[in-house]
Amino acid sequence: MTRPLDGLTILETGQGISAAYCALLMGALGADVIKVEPLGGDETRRLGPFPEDIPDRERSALFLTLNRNKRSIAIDLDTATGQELFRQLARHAGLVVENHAPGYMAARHIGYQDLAGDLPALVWTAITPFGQDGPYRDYAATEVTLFALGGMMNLVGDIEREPLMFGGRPSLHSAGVYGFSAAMIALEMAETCGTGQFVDVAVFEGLAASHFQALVDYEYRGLVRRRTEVRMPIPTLDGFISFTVQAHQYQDFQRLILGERAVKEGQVDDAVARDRNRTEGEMDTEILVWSVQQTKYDAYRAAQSARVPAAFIADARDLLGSPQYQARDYFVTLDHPDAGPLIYPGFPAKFDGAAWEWAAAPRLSQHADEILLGLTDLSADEVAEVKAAGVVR
Amino acid sequence: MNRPLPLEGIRILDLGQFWAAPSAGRAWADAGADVIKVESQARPDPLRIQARGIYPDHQAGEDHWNRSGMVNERNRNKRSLTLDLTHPRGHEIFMRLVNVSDVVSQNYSRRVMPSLGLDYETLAAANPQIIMVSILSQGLEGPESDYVSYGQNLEQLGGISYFSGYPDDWNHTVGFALPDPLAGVTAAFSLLAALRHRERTGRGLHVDFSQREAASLVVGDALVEYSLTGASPRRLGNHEPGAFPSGCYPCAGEDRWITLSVRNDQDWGRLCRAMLRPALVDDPRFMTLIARKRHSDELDAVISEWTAQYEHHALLALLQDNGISAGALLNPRELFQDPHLRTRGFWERVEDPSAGTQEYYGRGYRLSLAPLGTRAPAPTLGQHNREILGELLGMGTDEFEELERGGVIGTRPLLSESGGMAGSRR
Repeated sequence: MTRPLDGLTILETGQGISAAYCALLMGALGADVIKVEPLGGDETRRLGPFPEDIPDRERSALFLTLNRNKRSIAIDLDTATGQELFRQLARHAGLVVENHAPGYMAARHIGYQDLAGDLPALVWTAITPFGQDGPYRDYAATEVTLFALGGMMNLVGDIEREPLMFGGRPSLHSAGVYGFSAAMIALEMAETCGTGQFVDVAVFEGLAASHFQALVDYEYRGLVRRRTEVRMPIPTLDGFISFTVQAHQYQDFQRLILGERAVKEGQVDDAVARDRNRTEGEMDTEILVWSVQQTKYDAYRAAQSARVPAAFIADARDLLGSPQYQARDYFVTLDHPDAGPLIYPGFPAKFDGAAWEWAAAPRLSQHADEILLGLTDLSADEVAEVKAAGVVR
Repeated sequence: MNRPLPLEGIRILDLGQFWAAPSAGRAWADAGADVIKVESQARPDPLRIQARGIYPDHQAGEDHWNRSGMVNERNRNKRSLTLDLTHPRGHEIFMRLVNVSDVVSQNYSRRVMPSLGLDYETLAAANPQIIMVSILSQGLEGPESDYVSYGQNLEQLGGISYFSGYPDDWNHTVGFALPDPLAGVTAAFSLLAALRHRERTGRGLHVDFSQREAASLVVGDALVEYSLTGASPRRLGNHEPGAFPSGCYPCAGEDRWITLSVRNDQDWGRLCRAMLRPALVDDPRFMTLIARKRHSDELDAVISEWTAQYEHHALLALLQDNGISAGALLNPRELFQDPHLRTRGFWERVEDPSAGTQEYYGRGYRLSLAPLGTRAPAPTLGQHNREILGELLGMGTDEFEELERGGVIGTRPLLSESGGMAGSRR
């Protein structure tokens, strides 16, 4: 099928996760993403994880995951020639996505203000920890520090211990999602009125806007919530499951654990009068008797078949083997010249049931020649010159 | 300046409930779309009724369903219509609205829309331009697609929980439904991609969104790592890969904390200077990343002893002044008072019709040409029934009264005797 962002060229520059994730989502939807890397490569090429823990810039799982469907060119943006090449590439782009520190691009004369005069329809999305202004603008930040400042960490963990962050770098990924969001709005505007604009994405604010109830609870009644919820999941033969039983599901839950006999003998309660916390305490023993005889996946399926909301704690192996994911073709296998065939997660939505097309992540500066020859004024000789001069890798 | 907002002219029927889908609807409404929150008296947004006690000053009030904090927070800039979709008249009116709308968004469990006679095929037969966004737990197809899940379930099923928790304590798990906001926003902007697709192809489509898959995408590198190394990645707690030390350290006061991350040897030198322990730089136990990793317990003890002497805001400033990545743990009160968020105008003050003046969070992005702020508070239940049906379908007073008498529209939820919701369909 034609893809929704076919025909859109995106220029991505920066380091790490947020801008790369933003461009990954858009590349999945059909955009042609050109990743401008520093000469030494993106920092995620050095971060790993790697097979056997041996650093190899072409075999970092993080880099390979975030940079599918992209072309790579490594340019030294500290040189005047490199800056000119970036300027020429931007002529072909509908969107620039970057996560450099505020002022970084402007200091090199390739900021939004430098380019917008000649490129009025260009949309520029800058993703930074704290945005382009305000007292924290120049603060350094990483996943754990953002998770703490955004108020998320205050809610996670055991009150008797230190608070916790989530695995998977959710702050930096959510920043990519917000970048995607805002870029799409601005592109829609550019399409209808022909005007581009600057989009300021702040990770900190994205997190502060992702609270389920803690903020409004404070605003409405002055309650300062803290971390309270550490759950003890229920053991099974091979891992853990959990239930989230609402009042109206309580009878189904009892029927699942105690069986039909208990229903006949009147041990099954009026659901409405129950609250969830009491539920679990009262039936602990019975739940264990039920759970430890089966695998986590069987227990999850049995509960869900009885209309009881349940989940199991899925690890990487469970997910790669998930029948649900298989039925939806969620994972894709992509061959990479250095890393070999690997299994990757796909896009979380289908449009009219169609599968998305994927290509493996590029090697460092793999597409330098075709990008320079196709999209800049350089001749083949001049391409060789800028590479010999170390401006382009 | 009278530039139209980016999504002006787009009309969205928002059947979303709880968190993810209403958040998507709010993002569209912020950007100027006419978002009509469709509920019914028997089936209002469940958070109107299960408000978790979050009412202004603890007072539920007579019209408590209009005073639920969570509903008012995430339904700003929308209009409200009640419509009993199980009633033939309600169904007919909904289909007429589909004819004059661009999008239907919903997050019911998979079988609800078909059982209401409102599956995508039916909507598309009436209006081939319609885009349907279904934000489902596990998508439209597959053996687990009928399973019912809430956000925390999806965190576990999607793989986030496995990698979240204390590394020394596998008997506990943590979580708070992170997939909801992530899914909501991702879904929101998949819609914009769908709109572009429609402009190209001239016809609508069905966006089938899986929240579980959106959660897995966040731990995507861990999944690829497994495929790359054959070993399941470890739980890291507060530790950041490649950064020693990194994590969460105690500050002065009760339950006060600072997080920090030493990304390289330069950072380590800066931290030693900030701690006024310059000699530590030459301590062989801590000289390189590998050495610091090997002696991480000793290292954490040194840092904890130092951080515990400071108030967390002061320490944040001190560490940042030294160029070290640091973040104080902020609680809700501190977020509302935070100077950075205040300076940037993050908080949006709203006069709610029933809940009074309140401040709510803004959003993670701002556009230089389009003010995306709160233009209108969240609507009360059924607040715009007459306005919407009059304006879009040309209905008059007689018809409104007939619909109200028949219970097809109305402004009060139908509650069971115990105060719960009368209908329990999800």
